[in-house]
Amino acid sequence: MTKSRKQKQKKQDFLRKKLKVGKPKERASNATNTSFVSKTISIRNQHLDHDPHDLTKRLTLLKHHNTNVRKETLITFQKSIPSIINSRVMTPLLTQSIPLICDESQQVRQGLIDLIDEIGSHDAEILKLHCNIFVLYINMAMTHIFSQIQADSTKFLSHLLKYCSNEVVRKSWVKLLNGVFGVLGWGQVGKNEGASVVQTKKRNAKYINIHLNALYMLVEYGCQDERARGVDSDTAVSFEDSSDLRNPYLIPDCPQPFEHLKLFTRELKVKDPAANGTNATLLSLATQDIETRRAAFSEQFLPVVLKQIEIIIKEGGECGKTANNLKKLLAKVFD
Amino acid sequence: MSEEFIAASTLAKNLEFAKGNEFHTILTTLRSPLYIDEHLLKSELSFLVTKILKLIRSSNDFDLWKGCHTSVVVCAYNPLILSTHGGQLLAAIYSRLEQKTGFYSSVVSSSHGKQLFDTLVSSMAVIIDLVKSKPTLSREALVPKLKAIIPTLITLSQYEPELTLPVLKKILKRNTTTFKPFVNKFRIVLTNLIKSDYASLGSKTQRLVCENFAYLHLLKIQASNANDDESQAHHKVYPDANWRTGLLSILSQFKPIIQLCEEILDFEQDNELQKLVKALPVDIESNNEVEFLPKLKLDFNAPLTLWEIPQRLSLLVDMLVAFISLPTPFPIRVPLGSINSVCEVLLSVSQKYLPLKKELRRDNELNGSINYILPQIQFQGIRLWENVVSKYGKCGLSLFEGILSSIELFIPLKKKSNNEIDFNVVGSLKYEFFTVFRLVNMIMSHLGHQLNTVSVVSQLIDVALFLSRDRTLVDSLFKSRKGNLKQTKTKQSKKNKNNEGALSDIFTHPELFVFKNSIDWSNEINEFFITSLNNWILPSTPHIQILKYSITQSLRLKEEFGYIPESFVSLLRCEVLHPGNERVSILPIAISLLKNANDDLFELLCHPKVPVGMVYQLHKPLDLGEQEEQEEEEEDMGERGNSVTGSYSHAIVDTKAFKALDNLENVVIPEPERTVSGPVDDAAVFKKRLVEEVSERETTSMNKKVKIVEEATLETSEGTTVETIVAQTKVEVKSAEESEGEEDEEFEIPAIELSGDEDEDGEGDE
Repeated sequence: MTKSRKQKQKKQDFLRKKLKVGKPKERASNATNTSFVSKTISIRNQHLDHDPHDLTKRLTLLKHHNTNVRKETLITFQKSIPSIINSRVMTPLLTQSIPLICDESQQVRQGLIDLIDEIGSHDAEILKLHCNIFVLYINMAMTHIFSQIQADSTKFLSHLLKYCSNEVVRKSWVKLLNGVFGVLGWGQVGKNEGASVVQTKKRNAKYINIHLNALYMLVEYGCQDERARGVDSDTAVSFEDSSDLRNPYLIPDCPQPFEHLKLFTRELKVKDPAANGTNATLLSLATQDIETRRAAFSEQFLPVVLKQIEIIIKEGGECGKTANNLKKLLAKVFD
Repeated sequence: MSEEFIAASTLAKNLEFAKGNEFHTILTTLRSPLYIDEHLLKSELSFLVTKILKLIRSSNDFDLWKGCHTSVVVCAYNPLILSTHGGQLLAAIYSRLEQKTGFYSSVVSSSHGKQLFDTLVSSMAVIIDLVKSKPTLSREALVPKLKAIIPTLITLSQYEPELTLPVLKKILKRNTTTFKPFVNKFRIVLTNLIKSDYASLGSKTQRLVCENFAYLHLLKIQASNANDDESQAHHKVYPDANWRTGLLSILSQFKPIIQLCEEILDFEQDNELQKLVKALPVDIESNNEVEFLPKLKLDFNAPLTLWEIPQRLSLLVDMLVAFISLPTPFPIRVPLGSINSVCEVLLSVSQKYLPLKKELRRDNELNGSINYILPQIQFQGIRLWENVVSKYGKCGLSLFEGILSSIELFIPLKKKSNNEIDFNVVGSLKYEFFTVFRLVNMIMSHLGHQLNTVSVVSQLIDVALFLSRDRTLVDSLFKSRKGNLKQTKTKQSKKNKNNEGALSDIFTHPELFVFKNSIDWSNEINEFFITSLNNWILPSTPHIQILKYSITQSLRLKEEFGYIPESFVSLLRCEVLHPGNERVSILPIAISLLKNANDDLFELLCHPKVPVGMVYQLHKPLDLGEQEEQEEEEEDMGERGNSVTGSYSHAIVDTKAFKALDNLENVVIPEPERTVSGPVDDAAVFKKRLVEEVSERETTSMNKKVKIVEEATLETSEGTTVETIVAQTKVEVKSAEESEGEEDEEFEIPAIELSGDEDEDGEGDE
């Protein structure tokens, strides 16, 4: 019996539709489209409530690839130091600008020196807080392969010593002495003198002068106590700082007073101390007191210094003068 | 007291059959003082004693044992029985002891033989002790029997030195004359013990043997012969002649052994040492008492025989120590100088400054033996010194510096280096270094800060810190692990499995294979550190290491035991009080460690208080000069700490405390001051003087000037004026002086009172 139209229509409902090759499956007639589209607008350089004086945003500019930008940022910070000296931005500023010691551009390094001077003239305590990082990067600079960076490293050292001599000298005496010797070409890596200096085409007398100056300051602050330095006893600042009247039972005025005890650091075990000989023992010395510093200097470094500055004095010039001053100082301290 | 108590006769009856707890109860009851009753003496107590004697005389060992113990208890707690029957009991016990000693080997072979001997000897010793000091009793009971007791004990001491030697020592010391006939026999026994069995005896027994040997010399030599000249007769015979000969004969034995050491080390390199060796004491007399010691047989081909050198030296040192440290009834002359030189020579026997002899074969065994014995030889010197210093204290004061410099020879240095300490060797000499530190502590406590040789102290500090660390035994395994890995591949797999299972713990839990230090060691080391910190300012490296050591160890011990041991507390106190070169003392760290310890010292440092009585001792502030000084002081030291000393005029006082005092002054003093300003005439005189003083002092005062601003309150008839003292700088004074000149005539200056205004001004200045 032939099926009626109605029956055929009913059957059609239950027939499976054939899939066609190359075409997707047909949508059901009662299917609802639940897809949606979302869009965002991002405006990178535009912030709401932009404060033109907000300097935290500028910190990232210190790592900009353009030298000028870095330089400008440093100058901006330097100008705003008086206002931000007591604010929270100082710490990130210092932690992010100190690595610029190893920056490739001379102008950036100079800008950093100016910044350090500015900070130091306002508040030296902040620099004291970051001595560790300073010394780390200065050391990095002293052993850098770029000769310019190496040559500039002692400038940083002398400026740092101006403000936080006490801290620096106590913590990293031997390390810094080794570094300065290396930069001057007097150091010994193995048995090769001058191996740590990146050979420049001409040993610039100007740089040697700066290095000698840094060495002079190191010896002056490290091996002489305040009295011998002839600090003026009338000024109130020195009076407070002089160690005679310091009371060890008061709340300490220096940051991290128990750091040198190394209670919370794990000291790496020197595997074979015999191999390195005296160097290992030197590095493990605690140079907190002046006697140890003087002893370490006079045993290890003094002979080399005396020998080398004689040569430089003979050459004469600016370097000769500085070398002469150094010689006088050494005679005064170690006799 | 008429309490009810068990009759002694009942107890005695039960004694025979008592065992275990019952026996204990009987003995405890017998201790009661109720039995000390004369009425009981004839009846009950004598019955008791008869029973005890019966027990002692029985052939049953258990009864004998009971009898001994009962007699001891009864004699000790009941003087009546001791006085009347003590001798009897003693005789009974002694006879049984003699019997048993005769059959020593058979007695000892039984299970309780040793115990029996122990009981017999000890009970006899106790009764002898009880009887000794009482004159009548000892005369009647003890002395006649001693002649029999002593030989028995001597015979027994061959087999049981531990038991008998203490008793013999006491008898020898007290009843020397009674002992006289038996001295030779005893000497033979002792020399046998020393010759053959010395090493097998315990350390206590060794000491007893040496002490008894020394006491043999208590007997005085007979009076001089008739052949002596009359010219010699005036020489006093010292009572310690015999003692001294013994001492010297032992001393003279050191030299030959040191000369043996010359075979190993080349003494010729050091002239001083050779001189010293030649000067060592030698016994001239032919009958050397100590010659019974056999000669040492050393053979370089059998290097282990070399170890006999330190053993012989140790024996000699023991005997010498007995001679110099035992109490004697007469004064003895001790040759401290010779002993010192012997010790010095012993300590110089080291490879630091003397090379090995060239003829020696250099094989491992020989070198190893030599490396072992040399520090041991040195150690004997240190031991001898330790005994001398502990016994003679300050008598040897002149020797102490020499001792310290010789100790430096003991610290092993690495070869081919000047100053590096060889810590591996140090680790193996830990016990010896313990003695070294004890010696150094004793010396330093006498010398204090007068000491000049500080170099040895810094080396010793390094050694002390190294030895105070826990010793791990497994480090070497980790170092050489790479080599081992290669080897294991070639081994058979089965062996591997057996080995690996045992070794895994070493790699997973290396912290369990660690030697920890005893608290005695820490106490000794801490004392050493305390003395060093007290007397010298150390350079920063050892100082910081000591600080770190004390803090970490205190914390560790606090966590482990819940408290910090006393020596560490003293060390922390000392570190706080003597910060040395540090900028900041470790006071906050120490306080937090000792939180609940209620330490007086730290409480005082944290909460300093002005003594209350000081307020009333203040001078009345009429004296301007003093006041100016005080104010100068106050401003100069405004930032100083709070240490308060005795007298007010020299006190460094906190500004706050000062102001508090001011306020107190204002409260206390005004009333008396009113009497001063009472009559107007006096006040007038007062005025002038004060004005003069003021102007005088103002011209002479240095930094600060005091301006007196007077305000007169004319209201009150008494004329009390309130004055304020303002501290000013020089610049403002001139204007003040001018104005003052005008004001003087108009206003009064009775008393100068510190008022509240000063507080504001003072604060304004700062």
